[in-house]
Amino acid sequence: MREPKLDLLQGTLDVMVLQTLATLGPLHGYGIARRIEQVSGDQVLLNQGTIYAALVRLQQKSWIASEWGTSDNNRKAKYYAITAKGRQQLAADMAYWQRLASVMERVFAMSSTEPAQ
Amino acid sequence: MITVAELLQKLTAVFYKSSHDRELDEELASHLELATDEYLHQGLSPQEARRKAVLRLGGIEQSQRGTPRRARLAVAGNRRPGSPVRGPCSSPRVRLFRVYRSHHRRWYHSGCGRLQHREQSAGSSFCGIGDVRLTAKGEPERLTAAPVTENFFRPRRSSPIRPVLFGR
Repeated sequence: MREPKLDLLQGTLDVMVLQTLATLGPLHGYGIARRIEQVSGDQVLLNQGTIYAALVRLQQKSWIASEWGTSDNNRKAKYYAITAKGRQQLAADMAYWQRLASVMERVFAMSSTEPAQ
Repeated sequence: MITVAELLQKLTAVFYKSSHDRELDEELASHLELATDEYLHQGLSPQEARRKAVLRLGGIEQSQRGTPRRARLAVAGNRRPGSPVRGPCSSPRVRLFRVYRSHHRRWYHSGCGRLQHREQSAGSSFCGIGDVRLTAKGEPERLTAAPVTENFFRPRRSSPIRPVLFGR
């Protein structure tokens, strides 16, 4: 049986968007959504519409900037790019998530036979 | 902490709401076109490509700033999720509500006027506003619905509300 897709934890989508833009350069909303789906190996349950809520949020914080352009297949699209402020935030977010992941890893690695200290 | 720049952006958003909404609409339309193109490229028919693109986009209402104050759902008849959607089918007198039960959800719809009355008289049973999609063959239909607790439909002697269940 196929495993159900993962729900994104609060705050993770913004980091994913920032990292996608930092890695790939300016992209439109659809491109960002597709990239996140591809990178997650289709494991993440991403409602593509929610990308736009994240984009509005990130733009309000000046972590990304946008301008209208034309896509490869000649469609009008709004392109987003990460700003210097956004890169700083991404670095801080990455450090936070790495710390959290390492703590969780230690918690899950706890053995029931370990003596309490 | 909110910065001056964020505050200014929020104020601008208030004063230029309609232009921002219009721009977001354009962006969502562009998203649908790009997604449809990709599905067409995969060999789907134009109709199926469009349908899949709409399905993948989902949650348009959530992506627009602010949530509608009132559920302005319009769905007519005894359609059940999974039954064919036959073109535009709306009625201002009909609403769809999501009713929460202990371990599962149920869907009801009922007359608009009576439910408005009920909202005013029993606000505590009104939980909020959410989106649903009716999907089947043809174009998926996006609806705004109100999630409510089960006692929302408690019959009243003077004006009983008789919700129609369709779906589990």
